[in-house]
Amino acid sequence: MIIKLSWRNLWRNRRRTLITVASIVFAIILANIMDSLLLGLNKQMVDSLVGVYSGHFQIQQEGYWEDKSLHNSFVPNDSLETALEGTEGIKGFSYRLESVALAATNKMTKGTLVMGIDPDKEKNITGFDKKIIQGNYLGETNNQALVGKGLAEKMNISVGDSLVLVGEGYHGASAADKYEVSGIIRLGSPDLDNNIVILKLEDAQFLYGAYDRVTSIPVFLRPNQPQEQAIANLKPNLNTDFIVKPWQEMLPMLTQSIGLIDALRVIIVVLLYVLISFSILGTIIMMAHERMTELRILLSIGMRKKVMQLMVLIETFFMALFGAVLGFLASYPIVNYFKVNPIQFRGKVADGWESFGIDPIMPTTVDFGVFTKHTLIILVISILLSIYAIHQISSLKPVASKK
Amino acid sequence: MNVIETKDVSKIYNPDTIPVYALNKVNLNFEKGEFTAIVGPSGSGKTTLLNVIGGLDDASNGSVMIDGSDILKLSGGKLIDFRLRHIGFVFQAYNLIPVLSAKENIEFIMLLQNWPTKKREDRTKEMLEAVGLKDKSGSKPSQLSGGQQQRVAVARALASKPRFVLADEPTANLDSKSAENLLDIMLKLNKEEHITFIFSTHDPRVIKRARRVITLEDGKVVSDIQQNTEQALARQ
Repeated sequence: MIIKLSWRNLWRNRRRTLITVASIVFAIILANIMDSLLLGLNKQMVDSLVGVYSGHFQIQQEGYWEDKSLHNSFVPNDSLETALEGTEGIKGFSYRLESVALAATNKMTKGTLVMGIDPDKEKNITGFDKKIIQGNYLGETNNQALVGKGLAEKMNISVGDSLVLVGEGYHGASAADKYEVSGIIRLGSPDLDNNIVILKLEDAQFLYGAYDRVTSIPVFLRPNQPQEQAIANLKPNLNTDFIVKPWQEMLPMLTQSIGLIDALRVIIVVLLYVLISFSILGTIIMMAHERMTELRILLSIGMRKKVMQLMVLIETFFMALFGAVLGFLASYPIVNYFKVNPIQFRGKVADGWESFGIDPIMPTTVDFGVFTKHTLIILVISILLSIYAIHQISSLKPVASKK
Repeated sequence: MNVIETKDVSKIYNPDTIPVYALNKVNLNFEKGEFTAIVGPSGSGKTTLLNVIGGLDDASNGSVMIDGSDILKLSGGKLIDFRLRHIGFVFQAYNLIPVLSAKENIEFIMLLQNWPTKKREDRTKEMLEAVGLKDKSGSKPSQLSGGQQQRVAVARALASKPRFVLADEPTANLDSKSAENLLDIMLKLNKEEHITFIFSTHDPRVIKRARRVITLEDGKVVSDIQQNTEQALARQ
């Protein structure tokens, strides 16, 4: 009976209830879209930078991050490969040898970052082959090089040109070799594009005299795979000489940007909830005040205050639940639409994004956890706000019978 | 046998400044099955007396003994429970629950008392028939006339078989035909169910049909008359 009474009370003023429900629905839709967009932006940034270059985490020799020299390189053994292959959630991994060298053409010399990669592995996990803007990806032939777009422009390098790399190899050996530029690559990150020369791993190992050695193993996770869990699964199987470096430590700027976006997300969502809270509170105040006489009558004829408080609580809960469920259901097609058809930036905005190595699109992330979170928050807010009516009822006096 | 006994009941407003006696040492006994009208001019204390007897208002002094216990000493949940179990209320403005149908309004107090479903439904049907609203059981208060609403209110008050019913000017908002009709029903139920009725009124037609008439003035009982309703009706 109490539930029936609450439900009917809710529809006594149909228009007011519908307006409140509508405001809850719109608040939830807005919160879900905002949250999904900003989460999508975070994911986009991570995918653009982490998914292409650093990996979700890297296996490195202890001390390499502090001193990125070939002396801190290592020879990956079978047990390491077995451990990586046996860890759940890992999409793939690659071997890289990174160092620096002077790149010289017949007209110019410039300091560069040299990265030796396994072309086949990278093709599957980072898609380097898809980032070639001129020429071809690394093939079977040795002594081919991919040159970053910015570096190629600065040094006026074209596909087919020769490039000489000179530097210091492993254990102080001199390193020098000549390469044919097979392609120009655009990774997205200005830092990388302005400095990078990519070789086949074996060519880089030969150049630096670091035979069989690598400086890092970038590991890439499957979509939606928790990073912490994968690292926790892997760590027990790793030799103590190795460390696991998560991308958050390797890309501090990205971590800070994501932190900033997260803070913005919280501020926007809190503002939305403050607005919706006033709307719900207004309805609760009106519902309570216009029915005070009726509630006093109920008290007079023997309805306990606790039952009345429960009735009001259920009314508010019904209203919030109705709005929250509708908001939840209405959010999905909208959020999903923006996932399939992400917001695309053009012109200078797009250039700005690209200069940070991020694709100029803003897709949403469809995460039912986000939807559920906002639905639950609305329900909790409603219950908290109904404390006002509950308090009013607690100080209620029976009606004077003449009224 | 006394159902209600008031002993020196006083209700004083502004006791520390200029005291106003809404009730002044009222001593009354009400027996089972009485049909009593409390009359008097406006401000004489009729409503206050009903409120105090019904546990809706405190008294400044005195006691209201119901079945040997003083309800003025009850508080909070115990008083609410007492009202629920022992008293039926009929209000001048009907005060039905607007979102419930006539049937649900009548059922309401039995629901609060946790009556078994079957017993509750049977009693509701019985009361709807008794007040002549069998065909209006599904109607909401807004779909009923004033007289019909007050009949539902009487049925609600009586449905759970309280020890007594307090009615504050139950016919005040009704036309004469509806008022007569309501009185017929109240008298019939009073006879059939042996439930004590105490009601305040200004209406001479109602006063004539009461078996006992208590007159209040300035919070004091100035007369308490038993009358032969058959003769009163014949005179009318």
